[in-house]
Amino acid sequence: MFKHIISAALLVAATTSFASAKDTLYIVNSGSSGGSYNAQLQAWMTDLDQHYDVNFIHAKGCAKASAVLQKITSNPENQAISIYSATWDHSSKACEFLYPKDDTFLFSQEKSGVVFTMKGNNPDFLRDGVTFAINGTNDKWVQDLATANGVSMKTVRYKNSKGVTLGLMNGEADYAVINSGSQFWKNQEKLDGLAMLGPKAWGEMQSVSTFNGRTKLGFDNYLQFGPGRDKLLQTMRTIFDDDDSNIRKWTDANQAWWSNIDGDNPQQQLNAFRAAFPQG
Amino acid sequence: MEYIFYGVVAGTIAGLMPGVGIFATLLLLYPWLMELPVIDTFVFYLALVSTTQYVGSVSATILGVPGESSSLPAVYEGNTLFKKGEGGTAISGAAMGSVLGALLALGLITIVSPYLHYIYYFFNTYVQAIVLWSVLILMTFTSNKNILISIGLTCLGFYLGYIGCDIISSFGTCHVPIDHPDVTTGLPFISVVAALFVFPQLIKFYEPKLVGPTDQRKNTFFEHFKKFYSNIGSAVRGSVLGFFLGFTPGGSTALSSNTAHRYEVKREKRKGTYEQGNYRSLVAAETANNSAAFTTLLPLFILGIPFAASEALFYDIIITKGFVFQQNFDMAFFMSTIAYNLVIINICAFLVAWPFAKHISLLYLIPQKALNVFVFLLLCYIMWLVGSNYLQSEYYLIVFFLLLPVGYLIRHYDTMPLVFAFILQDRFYMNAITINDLIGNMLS
Repeated sequence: MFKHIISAALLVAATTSFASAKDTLYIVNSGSSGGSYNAQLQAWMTDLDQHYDVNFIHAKGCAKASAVLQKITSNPENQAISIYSATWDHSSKACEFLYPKDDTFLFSQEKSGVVFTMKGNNPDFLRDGVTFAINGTNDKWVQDLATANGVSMKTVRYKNSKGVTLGLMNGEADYAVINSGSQFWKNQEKLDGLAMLGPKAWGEMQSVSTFNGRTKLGFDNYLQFGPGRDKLLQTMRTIFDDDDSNIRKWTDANQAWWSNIDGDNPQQQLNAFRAAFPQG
Repeated sequence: MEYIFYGVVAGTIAGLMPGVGIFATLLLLYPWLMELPVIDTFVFYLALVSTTQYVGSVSATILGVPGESSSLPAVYEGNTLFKKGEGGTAISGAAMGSVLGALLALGLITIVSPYLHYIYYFFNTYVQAIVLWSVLILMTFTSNKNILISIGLTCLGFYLGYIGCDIISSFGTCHVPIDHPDVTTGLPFISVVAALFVFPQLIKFYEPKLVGPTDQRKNTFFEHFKKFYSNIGSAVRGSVLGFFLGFTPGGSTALSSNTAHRYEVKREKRKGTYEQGNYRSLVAAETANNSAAFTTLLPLFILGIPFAASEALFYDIIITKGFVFQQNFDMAFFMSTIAYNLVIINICAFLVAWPFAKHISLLYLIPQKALNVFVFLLLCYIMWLVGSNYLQSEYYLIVFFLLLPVGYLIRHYDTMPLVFAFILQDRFYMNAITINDLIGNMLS
């Protein structure tokens, strides 16, 4: 009897240690806790949980994410993933560590922002004196659009794309421009899409290039730090190809959103990003 | 259901231990709460808040210890009733009044809840500015006798919130007193609040003393109910007063219970029926207390603006889980998560608070000083543990210890304006930028 108990205990101990012998993976959310980065990284966390011991860390903003990732990678055994946004300031010293490099870039996602207004508003946004609700660096984009069309436009800054959408709904601006369209797609019954920020049309919405606007394709770059890069990418690809995975469901629910996870040439993706958004 | 149970247990402890309260309980359970799903966290929090209100009045009645400032009427009237041998009547009246207050407030909230989503559109940038500044000004003026102290605390809160790198524009603009990567992430919320809000409360040390006769009159449940029913008018008045005064930022439950108490005392005096240990005044105060405990949550749920320190901590926990108050809180969420559970929670809290009364004095065998030391050490451990989630254990502890002397210096003051300014600094900042743009556009 005693022998059986010892054998059973050893078996349990062995299987437990075998089961817990997964690599640790840190997922660092560099976006806000209520945003799309958090949503997709949470989906990845759930999906990757079968393959890794996942530690999810909130580190909002590129400076904070950089600081956290520098700490994680101070131990060369640690593995981590995060996302770098094309909308960040690429010359910022605080964010330098996070800027995609040959040894950290994993794959990119492309997304197109939207120019929109309230249903019933005048769809002609190329008029003198109109006001755009913006966030991030889109004030420069609006000024470029105004200059290209020989009109003057005003901007009102909000914290994020949700603030931009609510500002428009509250009547504080005539038009709105956001880099990630999720807030627009969520409120489609109240909003009227006018143009896509990217170079491609989407449904009835033409690219802003047809309005002399500077096209702006959003890039979310997945980054990987530490060893085990090929294994991780392969695992993520397998998960992404599964229609029932959380990340696939999340991606399918978005519009004007393209993932390059299965792309043959990541280096080409990285070069395209670097060319469009050079580090200052 | 299990999270209701946990909330009731935690609320019982929080209601009994002076200096611990809802905030410190949330802080001590922070690592565990971070692991819970959003809905379970909501349920736990609601159970914690409700039970604290119930149990607070029990300890106030039996021991004469106001666990929170909202329990002062229970000390004044309830403890006097206890000394007269009417402790059971006082506790049953407070408990039944609390149930009625909570359910009436819930009913009123349910009536207005279908219109909640209109509030988002009403709250444009200007209205948000008015709300934010009104709350701040009200807090600054009411929290301390010396207005300059309050203004100083508010400025300190803004300064502490300002430290770190700009996460609003994502430009990476940094305001750091020393050039260290950890500081770029800003000062950790729990280190700042533990040092400048919890620590000052812990060092306000006093020993509760059990007073009053041990022989108390024993009544049947029916007799208790009959007594309450014959005085139900005071409970309804307390509920309505509590519901509206609950919207007052900063001291909603304390203001509600004390105002309802004063109003009822005045009524009784006018009738010539008042003497200390007045049942109606006690019931009105306790009903108002619980009614306000729910309405004070509405601004948090709808606008994401916390009016109390414990709400601020709850807000921080919930948004870290990806919940957006202005976005995810709607009628369906309210009915399925809040309203339904509040009914069960109130029944559970009622069933706990009343029978628990006779065992309460046993808990005070633990010396208060030992308890405070234990809580302090546990806080240090929590700092370390939470910091480890961000690979910043040392940083969390260093900030906590560096701010402790400040916490000691301001121990005699209400530091809520500091906490409010610290937590909502980025909201104030962004709101000011948007308003600047709007006014600039108007003038150009």
